[in-house]
Amino acid sequence: MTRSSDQAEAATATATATATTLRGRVAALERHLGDPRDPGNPLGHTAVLAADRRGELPLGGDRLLDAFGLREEIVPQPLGGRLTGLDTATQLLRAVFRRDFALGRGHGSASLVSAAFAWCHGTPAQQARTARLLLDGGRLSVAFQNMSYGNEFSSGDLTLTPAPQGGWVLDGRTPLIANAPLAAGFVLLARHADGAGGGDSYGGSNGTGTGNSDGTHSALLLNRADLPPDAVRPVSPYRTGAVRRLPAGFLEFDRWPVPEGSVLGAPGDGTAVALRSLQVSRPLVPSMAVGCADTALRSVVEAVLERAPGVRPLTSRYARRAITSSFADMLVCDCLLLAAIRSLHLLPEESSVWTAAAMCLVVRMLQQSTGDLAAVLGPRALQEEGGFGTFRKHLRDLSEIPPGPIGAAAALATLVPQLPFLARTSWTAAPPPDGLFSASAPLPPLDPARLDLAAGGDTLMAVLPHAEETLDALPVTGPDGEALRSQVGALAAELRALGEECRALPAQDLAALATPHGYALAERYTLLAAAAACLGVWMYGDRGRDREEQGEEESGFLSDPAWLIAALGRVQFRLGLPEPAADGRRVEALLAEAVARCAQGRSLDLYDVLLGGGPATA
Amino acid sequence: MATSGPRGLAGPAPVRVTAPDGPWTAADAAMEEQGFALVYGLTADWGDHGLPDDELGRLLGQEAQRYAGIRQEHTRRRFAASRLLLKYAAGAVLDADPGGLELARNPNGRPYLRGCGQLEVSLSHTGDILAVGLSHAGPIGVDVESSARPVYGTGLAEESFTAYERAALGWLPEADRNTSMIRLWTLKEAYSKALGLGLRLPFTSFGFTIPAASGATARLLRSDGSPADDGDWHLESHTLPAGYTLSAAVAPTAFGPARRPTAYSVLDTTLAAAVLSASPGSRPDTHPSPTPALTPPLTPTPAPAAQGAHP
Repeated sequence: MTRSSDQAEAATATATATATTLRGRVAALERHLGDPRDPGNPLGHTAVLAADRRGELPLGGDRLLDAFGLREEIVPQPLGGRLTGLDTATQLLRAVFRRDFALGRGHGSASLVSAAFAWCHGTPAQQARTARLLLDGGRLSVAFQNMSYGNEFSSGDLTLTPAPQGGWVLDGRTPLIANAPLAAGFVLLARHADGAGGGDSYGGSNGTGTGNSDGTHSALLLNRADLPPDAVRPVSPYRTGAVRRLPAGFLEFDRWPVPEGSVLGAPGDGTAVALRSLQVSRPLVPSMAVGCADTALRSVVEAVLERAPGVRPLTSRYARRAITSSFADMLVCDCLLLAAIRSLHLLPEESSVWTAAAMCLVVRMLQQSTGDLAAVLGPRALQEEGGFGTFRKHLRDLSEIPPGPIGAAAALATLVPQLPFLARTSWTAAPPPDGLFSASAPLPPLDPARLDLAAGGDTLMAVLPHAEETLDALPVTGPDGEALRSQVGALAAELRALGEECRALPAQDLAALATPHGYALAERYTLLAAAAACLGVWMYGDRGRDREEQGEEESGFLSDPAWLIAALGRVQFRLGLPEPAADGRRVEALLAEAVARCAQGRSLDLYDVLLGGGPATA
Repeated sequence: MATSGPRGLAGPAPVRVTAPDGPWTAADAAMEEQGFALVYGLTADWGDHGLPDDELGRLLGQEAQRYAGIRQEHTRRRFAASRLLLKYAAGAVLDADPGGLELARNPNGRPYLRGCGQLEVSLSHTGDILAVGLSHAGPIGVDVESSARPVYGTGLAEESFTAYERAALGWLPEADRNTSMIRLWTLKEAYSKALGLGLRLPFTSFGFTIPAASGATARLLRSDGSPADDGDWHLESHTLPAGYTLSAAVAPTAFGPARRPTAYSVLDTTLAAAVLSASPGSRPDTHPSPTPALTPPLTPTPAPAAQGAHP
């Protein structure tokens, strides 16, 4: 049965009135989205798959999310929205991604990522303008740009030239922008044709509050209403590289005078503005993408449980390994994302490295371990009906998570130059600050002024040597204890080896850092950071605590080291280190949890959410 | 679409390379025009590399230990030869030191260059031939097999081909069937390798139209013979002069074919320069040292006495 919007709105009124915690908010949204398995639900898998085939968004999706008030979730509370912690906004959009990535992107994440520029760098007037635009139902879009590499769609060239009467004129074309034909506002990065944005901002080393200005670019916040009428050039949805299921286009300018008040941050400061905004936004979409991997894995487990013809049975070694590996990989990603996103609030000075690590690692890892599930489906792996189709759709969506290769290039640019310094000064044992690994502790407001382009320390990585030092105190015994201790020892040794190699790099020579060797070191860093995050979540997270708060009596899967050992094993494997020997109990524990969560309609990520809100009594 | 070349047309025939110094111009051109390149070499050429042990060790990098652990001389030689071909080829197209490239494996076994995911790689060997696929479009899989290997009438078709493929083979003149079966088989290997699934993916779960000749492309089909709605896989098969069949599969990329990466442009250099200059390590006044400083930090302003010395 299709729910009417009146019913939806009535349900929302009660949901939003009561829920304030992250868990509560997500549960309220899940109830609002309805049972994903209901064929009559506009946001159920059947309707979403049909919309995907038509190349459009699920019917009624935008209205449903509007009725919930999802737009308010991406606008900071002081500006009239509900955004306080980025974790909540992200988890809500992850719930939407669990249904449909394109809907989540078009309705929310594209605007959130663009609005991060204004939240981090806007003047009070620019922030108020952005908040109003979003709360009025408008969308904001950003032109992601790789400044040194890309393709026809990812590289644009916008130039600013000083106008005789003051200010600038804008020329050229942007890269492809998702939502462009719909957007009510745009964030763009333009190059100063004369190489300098503003007198004193050029060449300053670090003297200004906004950090290092290279004077070459400026970031612009533009209203759609102010643009020349033909500035937006839609791109055909049939073109290779176009955004699937969302309208997209370029912006083109020909000597267009930029309105006053459009520059975000100081003129010429565009590179730093972009870096700092990306620092905030880049772990968010990968975290939402966990929702796609979640639904894909669930579809496969359900096909296995239903004993669909040709699908490998739960007793098959390959099926067990693929399911538990994919589950463990998802938890690895979620631990790193949890720490990276929380660090933006708790340790903004150091967050650049971890959010970059999350961007480099997460989507690639999710895509790969989800892809490995295809073989479980057996001879009908390429079929598109029912659960098979839902699996394939979410796998395809994972390959389309923005910003793709440009994002990796930008994240590597943040990561690689910092490795020599961090290797010389950090990566020694220290306990983490309170709350970094909690999935439920409230977060202080984001303070963009504290975001540094480069970190002075690495508190997250310090968890790994700290775990090694406190190995004997780890609350785990028997074969699990043995496995875990040897894993921590091996990973800490790998960190020492990485440190040695990074200290050997010429710290100040970009040409010597930007080499395959430097990138390989960066990848090993991301894997070790993920391992540190897993240890952090297990040692300092909510084990037990939030369960008690929730009044649930389950023993708590997250307390069992089975998931941690499996997660660290996946990291070890990727680092080329030997994994601990397979252990029947641990495989069973992981498999049983995955199966139970699928059977009961709970999410497979760290948060273990009841999908569709579960039974009405929940 | 998977590649930047014309849709439905195979790229240039794979190029044989005999030594580290190339020539790599053909591979370079293929990368530029198609988004991917296929090269092959003989173990005889690449096995007798004449490299000193320490240089070979440097080139093998993280795999040096694995290499040393291979007991059989023949296998060890081929292992080194395949790594050298792959790293020199990748180094040539990336414009990078081959010794700086680290060949790693995903948990599913699919090889990749650690940290350089923009350049996808695939390796295959049979007999004394080594094949390498490089792609900056989607993930690539290559497979090489002797064209003369007798497979027709061995039961392979029943095990590994879909009903459609078996029927299509049945319409071919008998003399062409073995060759076509090798093409289909190598395409299946190449496709599963591009997916990273290897032999775990049942070969009857997907199929192809039979490539009409050497240097032809194929289309991906479902197990029932209907065309698979799976983006735009690029699938092609070539017969090499030495009597081998080399097939390649390039997966579609959602973001469109990217410009060809070079080692330096894998990261965004404009952003990296800004991060580097913001790094605390680049500020001389705050440069920390891992051990407590033994001397007092430098004072930023000249001592008053010195100031006083000048009028």
